[in-house]
Amino acid sequence: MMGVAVATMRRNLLLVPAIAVLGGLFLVPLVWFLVVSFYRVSLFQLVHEPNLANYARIWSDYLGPIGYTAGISALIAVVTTLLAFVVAHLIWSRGDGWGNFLLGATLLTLFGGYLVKIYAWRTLLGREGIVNNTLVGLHLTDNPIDALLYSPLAVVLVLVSYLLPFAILPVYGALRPIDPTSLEAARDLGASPWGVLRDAVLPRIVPALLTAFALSFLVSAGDYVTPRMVGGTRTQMMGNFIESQFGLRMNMPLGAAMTFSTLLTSIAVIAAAWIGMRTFLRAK
Amino acid sequence: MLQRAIDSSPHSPITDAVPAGAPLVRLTGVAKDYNGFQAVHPLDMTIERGDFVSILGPSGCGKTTLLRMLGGFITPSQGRIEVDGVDVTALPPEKRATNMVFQGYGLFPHMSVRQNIGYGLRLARTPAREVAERVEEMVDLVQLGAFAERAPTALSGGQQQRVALARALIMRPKVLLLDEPFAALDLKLRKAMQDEMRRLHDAIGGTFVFVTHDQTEAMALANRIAVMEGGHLRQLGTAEEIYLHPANHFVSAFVGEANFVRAMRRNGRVALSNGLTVVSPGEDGDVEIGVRPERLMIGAPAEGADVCLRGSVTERLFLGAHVQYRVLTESGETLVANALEGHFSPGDSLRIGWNLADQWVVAS
Ligand SMILES: Nc1ncnc2c1ncn2[C@@H]1O[C@H](COP(=O)(O)OP(=O)(O)OP(=O)(O)O)[C@@H](O)[C@H]1O
Ligand SMILES: [Mg+2]
Repeated sequence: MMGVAVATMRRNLLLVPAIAVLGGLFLVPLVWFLVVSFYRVSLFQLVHEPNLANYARIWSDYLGPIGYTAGISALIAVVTTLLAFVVAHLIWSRGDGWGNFLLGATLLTLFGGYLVKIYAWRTLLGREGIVNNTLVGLHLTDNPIDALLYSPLAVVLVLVSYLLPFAILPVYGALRPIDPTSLEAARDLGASPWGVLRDAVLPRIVPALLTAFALSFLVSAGDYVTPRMVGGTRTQMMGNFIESQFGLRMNMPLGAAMTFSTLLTSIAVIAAAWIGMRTFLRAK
Repeated sequence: MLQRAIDSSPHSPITDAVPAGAPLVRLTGVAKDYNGFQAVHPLDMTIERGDFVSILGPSGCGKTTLLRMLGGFITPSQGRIEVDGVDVTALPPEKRATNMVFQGYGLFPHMSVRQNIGYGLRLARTPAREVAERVEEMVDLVQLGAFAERAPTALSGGQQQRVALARALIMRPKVLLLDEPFAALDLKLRKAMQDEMRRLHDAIGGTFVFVTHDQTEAMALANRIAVMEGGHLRQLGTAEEIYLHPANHFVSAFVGEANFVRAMRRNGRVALSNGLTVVSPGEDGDVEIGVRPERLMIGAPAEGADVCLRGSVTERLFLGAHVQYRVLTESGETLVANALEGHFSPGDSLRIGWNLADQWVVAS
């Protein structure tokens, strides 16, 4: 009996570093932020008087931006997850050189940094960019189209291309252990190629698809660099508002409240995505 | 009841159009070429309704390729496959009235045993009530009642095997295809599964094609055995036919053990070393006379045999069920004889012989 107790204690002891890291780097700052979001500032000083004013202000002024942020982030996450599945499935189902080439190419794009990708898209979409030059050159349009860059579309393009490799990896990882014989068995029992996907593949990679979705969604919803660099003046996402509260406006409590509102919305969207996937990605 | 159910298979809208007596499966010149490697050479084969056919052959001889062509997973590079009078050569697996038990089982890990078994019926939009009934029928048939709600990953190899079998059988296939289904099981379980397989075939009828490289398994199960070698079909016949009257050297040696004695054929007669000649139609030239070790007689009984030779014992092995002698004949052939008694020792001179009814002649 003693032996078991000691063994259990040892095992629990092994968890300490993980809990310390998680708690110190993640939970404590988050809780501190939650507390701060109920304070207010006066003359650049935190006033420790709990109140709901910050949340009331968000309710009246920022529901639009939060909805817009959630919407565009959900769009980015859906597109990224779909593309990630298509590419991962291609890599997985092509056992030959093509699959490895695609996987290699995917990993290679991770080397290009975030800013590099943004600038790459700017050279593609800008006034003097490759797309506009081509359009003008082909006389498809008389003047360059400004709306290519500095638009929500540009934000979607940049973030999807940036997030795609991160989303491919979990999906590919989930596809790899699937036994190809089970796919043939499904075929044998009467499933069309689409039926095989629906019954023998998709239900088994729901966690990975959700990971890809959540990752893309959270990165998009928290991003403020991309909207500023390619989004134009009209594409204001919550990241930009939050950044300005912490920066120029020095209103940390309002910024913290905005952060929490966005976080709650994000959790709601991800939960909805999870329920949706579990409902629709089920075997017959 | 199951018998009737199999005959009125959902896959067979045109059964009535087929004349009685036509084979259920007919392969005509079927061959498979993998980018220049001929895995299966053009072969003809028919399978009758109710047959339990075993495809037997060494590793790499094309058994799986042949079976997968029947199932629709590999398109033949030439030839024609008919099932019940319908040309299915170009049909994908989901459109064929065949079902397969795969070597690796291929169970769905995200479904329970019951869900696995019922999958094919659900796909076919069978009413839920009927699905449930037939699943229960199958669960009973393969004796999985105690495990029916488990995930397949929580089952032993033999239990998984039975799920795979039930999942295919529930479709009431015109032909059930099995690719070395017991290869991964230990000897004891394998024997038990063979008994179960025989019981199943007796109970529900139907037509089974069973791939194996184990000749005892083939003989224990099948009423007809197709022996393959290097992509060729070497012989198709009952266990007795292929064991007692093998058509060629390969079948003689692959199915059981065989002794070979060289001889010559001239004008349809083969001369034996003791001067006896036997009628044996075929091309003139070198031939081999084959005879099984347990059909060889040694000592006194050999003196009354049709063919009787002198020799001396070079080796004696006690193998439990029998004693195996290696005998060097005066004409210089080494023969292996299995006998029940073991009163000879190495060095003894003796007579060794066999009856003409126990020998066969193949081209060498
Ligand atoms: N996709 C393929 N491409 C090229 N050659 C193949 C392919 N599949 C099988 N072969 C070859 O065809 C031959 C027959 O293969 P097959 O799988 O039918 O053998 P088998 O009789 O089932 O052997 P085993 O008893 O080992 O399962 C083998 O020599 C194999 O190497
Ligand atoms: Mg094989």
